Amino acid sequence: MSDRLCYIRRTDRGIVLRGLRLIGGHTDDSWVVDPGADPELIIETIDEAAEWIRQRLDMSSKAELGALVLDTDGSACTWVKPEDADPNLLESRVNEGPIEHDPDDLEPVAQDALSERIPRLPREMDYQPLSEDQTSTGARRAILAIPDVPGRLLKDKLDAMGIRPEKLTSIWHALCAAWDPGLDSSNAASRIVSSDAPVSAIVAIDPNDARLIWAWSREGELICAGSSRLRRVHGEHEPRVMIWKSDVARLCADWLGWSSQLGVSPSRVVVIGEPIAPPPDEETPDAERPYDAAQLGAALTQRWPDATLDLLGEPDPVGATLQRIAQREISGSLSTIDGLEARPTRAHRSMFRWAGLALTAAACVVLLLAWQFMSRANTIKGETRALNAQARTVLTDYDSAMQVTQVRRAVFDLESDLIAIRQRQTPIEIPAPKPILEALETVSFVVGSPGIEVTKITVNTRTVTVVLVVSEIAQAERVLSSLRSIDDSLLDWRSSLSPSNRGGNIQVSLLADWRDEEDGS
Amino acid sequence: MSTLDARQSRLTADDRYELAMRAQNQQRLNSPKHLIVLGILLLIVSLIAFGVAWQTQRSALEKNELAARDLARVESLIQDIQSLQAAQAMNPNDEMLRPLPGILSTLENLGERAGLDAVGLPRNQGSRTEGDAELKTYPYQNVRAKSLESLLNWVRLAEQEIPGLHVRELTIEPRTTAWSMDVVLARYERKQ
Repeated sequence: MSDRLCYIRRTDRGIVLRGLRLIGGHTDDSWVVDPGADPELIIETIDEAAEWIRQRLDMSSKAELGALVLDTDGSACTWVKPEDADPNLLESRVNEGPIEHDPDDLEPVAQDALSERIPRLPREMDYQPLSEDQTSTGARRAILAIPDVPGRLLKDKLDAMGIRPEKLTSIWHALCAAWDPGLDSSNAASRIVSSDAPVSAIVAIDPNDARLIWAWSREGELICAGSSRLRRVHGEHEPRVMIWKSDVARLCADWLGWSSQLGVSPSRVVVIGEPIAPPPDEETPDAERPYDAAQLGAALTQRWPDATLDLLGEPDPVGATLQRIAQREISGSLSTIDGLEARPTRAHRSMFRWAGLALTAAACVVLLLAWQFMSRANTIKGETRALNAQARTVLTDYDSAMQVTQVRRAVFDLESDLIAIRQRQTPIEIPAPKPILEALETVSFVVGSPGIEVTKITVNTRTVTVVLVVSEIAQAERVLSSLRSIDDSLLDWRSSLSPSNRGGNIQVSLLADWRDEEDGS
Repeated sequence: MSTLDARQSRLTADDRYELAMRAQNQQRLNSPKHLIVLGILLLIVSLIAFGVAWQTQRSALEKNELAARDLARVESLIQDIQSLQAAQAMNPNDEMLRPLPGILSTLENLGERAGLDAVGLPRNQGSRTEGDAELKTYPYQNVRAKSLESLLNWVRLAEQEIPGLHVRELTIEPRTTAWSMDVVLARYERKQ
């Protein structure tokens, strides 16, 4: 089963839907509606169109829509400087509107050339820079400006019905994909190492909408495009259009302009359509008669001499184009209108909702964790209070007079007390005092003999000195002998007496050293 | 390419604007960014709350550990102090090294008990640090008594009655009417 493509026919600068064509490989269904002039009616029309598409798709075995293809109504293609090829910038420049001019101002009105070349339809347009890879380096860049409000509304409505078009594109893109001969040759010559794909111009003469639609393409990629109105022939069963010399002249003038701006020109021209030429009228000069197909070819060859011309006699070029795409099942490779393609759908809404829900759920989980932490913190605080109370009880039990305001301070106080107590209890080694009184008592026994006068006894921690006055030195020697004979392990008496005369008597000094207790000497 | 503007169409500019806005509203409906913004805000708030709660719990935990350590420390300190106090009560050396603020009056009283008229006051009291103790010296000069025994009794009583007091130097000289004694009494005291 081939793809099915839906061609959207619009009017009133591309905002009013006036018909649909659902084209498959071998089917071509049309739905036409009288265009309304009221927003509510237009919305209803779009609802009906969506319903019609759904019914038609339900009837087929393959209920999928390959592409929504917009016609050229209200659309424009122009060139800009490469740095200006920004959709947001272009939209803001168009939305600014015309510059208010003071009639009394002598200065000329400053016109924005770009906004003059682009339809001034605020909030209705999608701007799409076309490929710059297929043009000369440093050239201007082509911009497609498409008013696609019906396309947006129809996409939303179809999306609500569960129908998601695979591609959202324009008839210009479709012409390139269907008829570009360079695309076929590049596919066939896939084994060739290097090739230079030619730029092709595809011209569709659409009798249904009385338009001449053209597009330049290289390897199926849209380079630039345009469309112009044609004169329709009335009174026929099938709609037919006429092409006049002026139409061809205008077309070639447009192409010249584009060639100079982009630096490329088509070397092959494919014309699809059957322009009608009325029977010759002798009163009308040849130059003012409309062209038939052969004359059209000749005129194009004459005005664009270096290009190879292909004439395809299709009465319905748009239908043939979409049918060719459907038959080849190449709708998936169609280039898209980015703004329309990126328009959010229910799937996006669902994604946003789920993402929001996931974030909220994550926030709830984090909040729950936070609550658990807080709860645990409160429990720990309670345990801390209990520990502090227990510490106060212990401190009060230890010292009831203690004023415990802070346990920490009490700990410091106790540590200070402990240090003080430890200092007080540090064992101190004190040298044993000399038994001075005992030594004195011993000495007093010996020297207390008659005839011996004691003048001074001095005992200190190092020595014992006894100063005596005797009448004979022998007395002093006996005393010394007696002192040395005492075995009390306290004193060592020296043998010298240091005698000296004193008023007829003799004064002697007896000197003793304390014995060390360790060695017993 | 024509560049007709919206004023040339059948729909009015307001009608066109309304249709465009309807399409834009539907686009907005299909991309409810406020849900994401709300979710992110909630997440940020919850993360802040989580941070505060985590910090609170950490702080509470630290305080709890500190309180537990303090309690253990208090119990340990009290136990140490009580055991040291108990050991102190049984240590006789402590009394011997305890500073005695009324030592001079005690010596005077002991002098009276030994039969001395007056022992006076020590001249040039000294204090010298030796290890963890201070050696305090009390030099008495020219303490007179008719009886040598009274002088020696006073010194003996001082050694017996005052813990840790001992004689460091003693000089006795007989005078015409009495005995004269120079004595240096000393005592080790624990440093304060």
